[in-house]
Amino acid sequence: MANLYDQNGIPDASLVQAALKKSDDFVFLLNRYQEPIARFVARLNNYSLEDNEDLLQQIWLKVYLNLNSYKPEKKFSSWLYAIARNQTISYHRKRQTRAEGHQQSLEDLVGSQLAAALNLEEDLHLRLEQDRVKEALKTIKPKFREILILSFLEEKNYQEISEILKKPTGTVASLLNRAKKSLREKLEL
Amino acid sequence: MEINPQKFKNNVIQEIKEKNLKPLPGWFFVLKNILLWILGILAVLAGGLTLAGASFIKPFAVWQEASSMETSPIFFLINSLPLIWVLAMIAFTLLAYSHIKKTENGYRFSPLLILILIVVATLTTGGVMQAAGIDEKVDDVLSHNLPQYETIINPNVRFWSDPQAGRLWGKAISPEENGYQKFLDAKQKVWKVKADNSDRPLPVGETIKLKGEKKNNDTFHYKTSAPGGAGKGFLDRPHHDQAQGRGQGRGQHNQ
Repeated sequence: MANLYDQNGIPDASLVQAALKKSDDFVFLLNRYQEPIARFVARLNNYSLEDNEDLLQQIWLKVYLNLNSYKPEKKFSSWLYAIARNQTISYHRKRQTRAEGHQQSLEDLVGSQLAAALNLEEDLHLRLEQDRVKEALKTIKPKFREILILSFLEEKNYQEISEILKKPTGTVASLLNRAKKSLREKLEL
Repeated sequence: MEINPQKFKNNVIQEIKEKNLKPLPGWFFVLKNILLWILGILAVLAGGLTLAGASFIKPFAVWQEASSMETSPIFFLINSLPLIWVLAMIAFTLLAYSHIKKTENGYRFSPLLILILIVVATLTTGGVMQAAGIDEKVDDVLSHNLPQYETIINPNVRFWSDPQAGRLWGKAISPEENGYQKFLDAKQKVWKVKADNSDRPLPVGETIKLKGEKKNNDTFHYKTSAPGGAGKGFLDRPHHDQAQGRGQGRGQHNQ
């Protein structure tokens, strides 16, 4: 077997197989995806750092338990993001309310990328618009927010979003258009 | 302050070991997917069965019949919409849809396409069941056992069981004698029925609906008769056998 300590170029499927054989080797999947998943989950909700950490722990345990459901012919990241998303929804339902506490703010990247997506780059007050975009993002429906995040921030294509949200690609396209429209309306454009 | 990645990863691995967690076996997910398909198919079969039953029982026929007669609007409304059939079809369709949508590849197809396929499959299944005579068996079971059969399942029975309004539903239980036949109705009562015209006698044992006039407490003269349709089992329920025994005595007395 290839040296798993050097993970560059090792396919996700191989890391999955290694984790199935030995639980310690699950760390290689964590190494590869812990940060992007943490960022994705933080973008989806308004939880405090502690709650996000708790949620992420649950997500990764769920990933471990469900490793045998992953099909190598499919993209591992889509499978992983789907679990992260579903677990976030379950976590939110169990909590019923959104935690106050020390909330993480959306990073500047959110504002600029979405502003670009909405063709705001020609606006003279671009920085102001980025902040407005970030605020507007918090107020639109969760299903719109998550698809905007997946498309523009996580840079997932339609096929990947379809696998993550478990919706047909046609629905994804329609949902994305409605999400952009909703954000524009919030921005009163 | 951000999550410490190294500490986080260590916590996850530690928890896996402490709780001795193991990945669920592959066959579990295969079985889950198969189960979803089975449940979806069962829902389609149930929908087909409902359709076959409805096509035999014709619960909506009362719409046409009631509208051609003088009935009160309330009576018409109560009798004319057998909601149970509509609700059952909707429920089975939605059940099939929700199970199939959750299968491994079910999400790829548009909701409309899945619904269309389910409806087509249900229609086909219903047609096959009808051709195989299962529709009548469905009615036999329902009419023999289900309480409120005559109201929620087959409202034709209740609509036609109104002697005051000149409608009678049931079956002839004796051959013609002196122009009269004994007739068992849906309410366990035995009537003496007679044709106003010189019509041939009613066939014994089949469900029939009569249109005519109630002459007295147990005599009914009819102008027209027609097949009574579904509900044979309703008249074969145990209490109806007892009524037949009581009816014979009454019939002889009135003659």
